[in-house]
Amino acid sequence: MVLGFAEPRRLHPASVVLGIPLSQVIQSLIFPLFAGFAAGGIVTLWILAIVGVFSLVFRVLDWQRRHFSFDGEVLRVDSGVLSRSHRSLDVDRIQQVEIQRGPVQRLFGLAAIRVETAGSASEPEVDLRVLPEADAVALRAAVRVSKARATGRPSEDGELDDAGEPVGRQVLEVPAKHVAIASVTGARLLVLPAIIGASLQFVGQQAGRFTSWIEEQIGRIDPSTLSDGVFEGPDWWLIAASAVFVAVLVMAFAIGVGLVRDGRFRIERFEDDLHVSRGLLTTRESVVPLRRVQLVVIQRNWLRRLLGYASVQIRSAGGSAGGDGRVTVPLLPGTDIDRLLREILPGVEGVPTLTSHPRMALRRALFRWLRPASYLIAALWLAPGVFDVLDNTIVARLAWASLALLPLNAVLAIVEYRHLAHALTDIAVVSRRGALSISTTFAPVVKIQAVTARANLFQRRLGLASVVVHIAGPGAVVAIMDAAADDATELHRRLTEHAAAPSPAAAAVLGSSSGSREPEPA
Amino acid sequence: MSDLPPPPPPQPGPPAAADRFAEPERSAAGHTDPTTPSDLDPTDIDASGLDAEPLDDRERKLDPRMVIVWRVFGGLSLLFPLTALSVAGYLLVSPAPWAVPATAAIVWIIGVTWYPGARYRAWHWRLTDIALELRYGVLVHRHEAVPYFRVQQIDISQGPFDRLLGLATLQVTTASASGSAGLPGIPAADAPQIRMQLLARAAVAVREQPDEVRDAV
Repeated sequence: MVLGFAEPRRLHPASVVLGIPLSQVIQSLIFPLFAGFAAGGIVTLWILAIVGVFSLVFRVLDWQRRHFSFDGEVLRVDSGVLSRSHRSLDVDRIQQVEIQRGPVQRLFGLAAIRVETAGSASEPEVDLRVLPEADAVALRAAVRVSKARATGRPSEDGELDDAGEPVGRQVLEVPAKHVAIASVTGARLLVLPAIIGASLQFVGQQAGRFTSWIEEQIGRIDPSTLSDGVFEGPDWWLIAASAVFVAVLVMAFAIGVGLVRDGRFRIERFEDDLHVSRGLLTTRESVVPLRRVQLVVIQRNWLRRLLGYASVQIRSAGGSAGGDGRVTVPLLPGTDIDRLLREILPGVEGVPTLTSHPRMALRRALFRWLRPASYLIAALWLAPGVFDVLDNTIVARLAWASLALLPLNAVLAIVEYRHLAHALTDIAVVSRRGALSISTTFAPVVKIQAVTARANLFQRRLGLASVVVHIAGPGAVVAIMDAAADDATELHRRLTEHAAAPSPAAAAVLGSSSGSREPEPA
Repeated sequence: MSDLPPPPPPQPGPPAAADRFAEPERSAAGHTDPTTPSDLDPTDIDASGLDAEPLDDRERKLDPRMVIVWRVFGGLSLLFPLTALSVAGYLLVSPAPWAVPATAAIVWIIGVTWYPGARYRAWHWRLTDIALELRYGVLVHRHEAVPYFRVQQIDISQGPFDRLLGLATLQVTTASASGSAGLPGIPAADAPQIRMQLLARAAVAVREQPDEVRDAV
């Protein structure tokens, strides 16, 4: 089923309404709303009505003027009401084609297509919203076929399903249980109480009464009564109960958000592309070409380490930060990591044996962790007047409490030291680091752009050095911290060689056919 | 004047490397980015680059006049923060108000007298078979390697003071935002030639790789 995209076409008429990006809606409403609130009542409605009519007219004109076409080589988008833009996108430059379906869009059988390129920083290069779902799928398939042809590799379009779509092989499916566990063990959980606290204010009088009651209870805790021992204070069980209530609320909320975002997380493999789909209400489907994978980061915070889980982040070239250049597998059992790695980085058999760093690195880790703690302690203890009032002020209590940071940070330093490690195989460079959250970063050696070794005064005295491996894209580095100086020199040499002339084995990650090819005679 | 080697005896006939640029054969993927070395206009290279002296792989130092640049600019750029710090220290520190300004003065004097020379002595660069390597840094030693194969773009920049002294900086950019190298203190007259040499080596390195690896960004 190949629909003709050679002729310029318009988007679906529904894009007059559905094609508006949310940020634009907010932007266009903020000013009138503020103006309206300042003026009050009926004026707000008038302003909103005028803005609404103008936007609608503008959207209709925009829809009329927006055309796209794809002739097998170039994706063209012509748009603009007042200022026109004609965008041509070469098929080679296309990195990712993502199909997105919101709940309303799914209701009407529509979908949006987002095309990302190596250059695009934060916004997709081309954003076509919305068009009939069949067209979106067909356009993505057409781009895929053309890309395969352009890269000179025959697409193995052997298996096709009833609709003429190639059938993928399932690589990974994250069950709802794991998405839920991921939601309550992730760092995002820490942000949620603030959100809930803020939203409670809007919930209504009941909630308002509840919060003021809590404030009252807290207000009754007087520090001076604590030490006196004649404290008749609040009902502790009530406070405990409300704390549990809030905790449960936060967790339920987190699980809900997590399921909506990452529910039905699935990775399938089509030829040399990974198709990642996720989301319950808004389904997002992205394509990660295997040859574009730049970094794979396995992250395990202490809670997930205890439970034996990890999350895996896959970064591909030039993807938008926080957007879809990064695909994060929310949670998978530690035992599945090697299997997933074998899929993402062909040739990598799993996490290789890592070389740990010399004992001197522990000194550096201790120094790194104790330094900020000691600043805080020094500030608290040397603050003017601490010694005069050391018995009964909050500063004094904080000053005593801050001493507990020393053993705590020392333990963290030891944990960090024990996890510091690296490895360099023929295919990938691996670095492990972190204290609270341990991350193991993999980068294919074919992707190395430059290598820096560095050693400051202290590192040189301890016989240590760090190596930073630069991968294409903003902020994409693999940092190997505090390796033995000799190891670092050797690593630097080998990494530079890999970057200068990737071996055929290293090129295996670029796709099925590349590994066997001989370099052209120069 | 410059640290560049004397020109070797002229070679009979066109250099072997020049033949590689005779045909601007495009990769199958068809690069569209004009800065990619493989797309360099071959006539452009022949014009000024390859006929000139090829650079060997010995270790080089910067132009000694770089010390003057660092002395002037280091002195100026330290002046403002150190002055601010001195004033704040003088007003806030009660037992010994002169301690902070005095320390600041010592730091400034070291920054103007000793540091630029030490920085110059620490700076080395060389063109190995496969990469441009830079070693520099006084307190933090750095060793950067940018393989020719990964070079995307080379800029020559000259500040006003550089122009006065006839110096230039080569900025070698890769596809990585953080993995780009700056090579300061090159005599302005030599900079275009070093740039052409680097580009030529980059073009050769790109040509020697198979297609898949070639555009493996």
